[in-house]
Amino acid sequence: MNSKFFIALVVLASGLIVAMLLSAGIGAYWISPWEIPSILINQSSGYDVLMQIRFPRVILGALVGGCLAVSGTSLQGLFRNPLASPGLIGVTSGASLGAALWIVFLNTTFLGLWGLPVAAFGGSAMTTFLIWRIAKHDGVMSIYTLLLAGIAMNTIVGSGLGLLTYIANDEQLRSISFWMMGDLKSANWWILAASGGCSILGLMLLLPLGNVLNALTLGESEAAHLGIDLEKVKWRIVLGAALAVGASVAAGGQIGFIGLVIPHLLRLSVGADHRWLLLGSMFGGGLFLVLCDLAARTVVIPLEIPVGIITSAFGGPFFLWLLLRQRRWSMPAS
Amino acid sequence: MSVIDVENIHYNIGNNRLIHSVSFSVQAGTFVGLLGPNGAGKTTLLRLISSQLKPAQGKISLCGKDMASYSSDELARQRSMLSQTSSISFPFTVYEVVCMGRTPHLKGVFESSHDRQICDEAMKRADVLHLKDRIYPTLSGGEAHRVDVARILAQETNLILLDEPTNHLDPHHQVAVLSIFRKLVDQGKTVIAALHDLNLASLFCDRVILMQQGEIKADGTPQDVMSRQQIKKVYDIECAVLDHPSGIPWIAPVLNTEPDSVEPEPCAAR
Repeated sequence: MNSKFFIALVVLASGLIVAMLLSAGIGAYWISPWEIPSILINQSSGYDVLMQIRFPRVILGALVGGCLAVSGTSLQGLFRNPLASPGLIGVTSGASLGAALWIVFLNTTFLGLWGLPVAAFGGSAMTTFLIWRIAKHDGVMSIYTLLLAGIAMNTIVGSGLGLLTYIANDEQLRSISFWMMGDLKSANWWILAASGGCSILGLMLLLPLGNVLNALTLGESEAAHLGIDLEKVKWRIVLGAALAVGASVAAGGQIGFIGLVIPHLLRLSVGADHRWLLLGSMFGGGLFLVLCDLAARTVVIPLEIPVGIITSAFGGPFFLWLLLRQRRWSMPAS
Repeated sequence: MSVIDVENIHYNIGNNRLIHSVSFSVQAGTFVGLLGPNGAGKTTLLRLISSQLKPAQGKISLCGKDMASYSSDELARQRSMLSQTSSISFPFTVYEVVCMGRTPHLKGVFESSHDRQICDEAMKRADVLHLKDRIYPTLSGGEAHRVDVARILAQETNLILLDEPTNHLDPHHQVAVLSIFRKLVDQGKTVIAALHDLNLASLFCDRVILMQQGEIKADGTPQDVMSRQQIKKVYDIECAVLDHPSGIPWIAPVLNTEPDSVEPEPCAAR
């Protein structure tokens, strides 16, 4: 591998580990990162805070951030468009609809803690499946139709969501809007296990596709000339992204921006080769979300800001700065 | 032996016959030019031969084996295709794009030093080595096209399909690019190229296939095929066939020289 990519990967991965340790220590209850090993071994004071609250949350943050960024990278490659995001295949909007349906029509006692994530995941699976069915014709998936069907489906789901917010009472409305901003505070080992299972399955489908995505950026027919089995690959990307993003959104709500921008940012600053970019996105997305979540729960202790607000507030300006710095190659908007 | 056997293929879209009962075979070490006006079916025929499209009727064999029985990987090691346009919206470097040509040959995830050597050699031959670290989307049309040529060379296939390979190129690079492929043919590879420039076809091809409305109108050496009558029939242009210093036919279009019946208008008197 190109040494530049290798260095970038090492930096991102070690950055992620440092950020996770820091983030596990910092909070209303302060634990120094150096003490973490001894606390874990001796089960001394702070053990419960680490094990019950901080670790599940930090790990979930890394996982969700990684999944969103890897899915974003894969879909941008599939659509050959740097402006594509996981939202395009309906995963996020479907999850919102599922979550809102559950909040408005089923009360919180139904299925306990599990109701909301399960409803969100179901919603995302349904919409993605529908969009995929529409795009598939005679055994061939049209990327163009996939894109347009995604846009249409997002509009339809958006109107359903509007209707639900309209009939919701004040308390439900608050739950819906908080969910839409995304947060990681519901993290616990059970949620982590369920969401992590799906995410890892999704990541396993997506991460080995480096060479395939590289070839796809040349165009579908060029990729076919290079020996890529297009139909198999398209199906695999959509399934992988739906699993990874569905699981993430179910556990963390709608955390915007990461899937769109992390891949883009790494492409502009390091390089576009997907063989490093997929792994880099996994570490970079995780790192970014862990840090944003740290900010979200420490900026106004003891209150918490939804992390979606932080990701956009930090990421947007940083991305703009990068764009202005990198004007030397112009980005086709198509 | 024949590399490609096309047996009576047909291809339609709706009621439009794009390819109608086309048959031919190509021996290894031949440079074949596909000629014909716009819409004659040259690109469609190339796509059928590359197995990007499936014929509605008939059969295409590659090295004596039915095209449909190849896996996509196997096929990519046997034939490559240079398309008319390609666009990339991500900041890949030229070197990375050329390396993509090695995709069907990769043993692992990354290129071996042998693969990299082949890519360097391909870039040298396509005259793009100096662009190695440039970002592909910032290249001019001609430069990007030559990078694509290098990518095709890096794919190292026995059969090379070219769809108007001289598009976007200046006269120097038109000749340079076709010379690269001519050299490969002399080494035993096979090239089928859709061409618009009759003289370049006559200069480089061993054999030309003249197409019109999805059918083959003439097939043979440039000397046999490129006659004044044949050109007039297929392209509807008047031309003179001259002798090129190297003995090949040279087509010079002739404008209609019938005297104009209208008197030239004098300047309007004030």
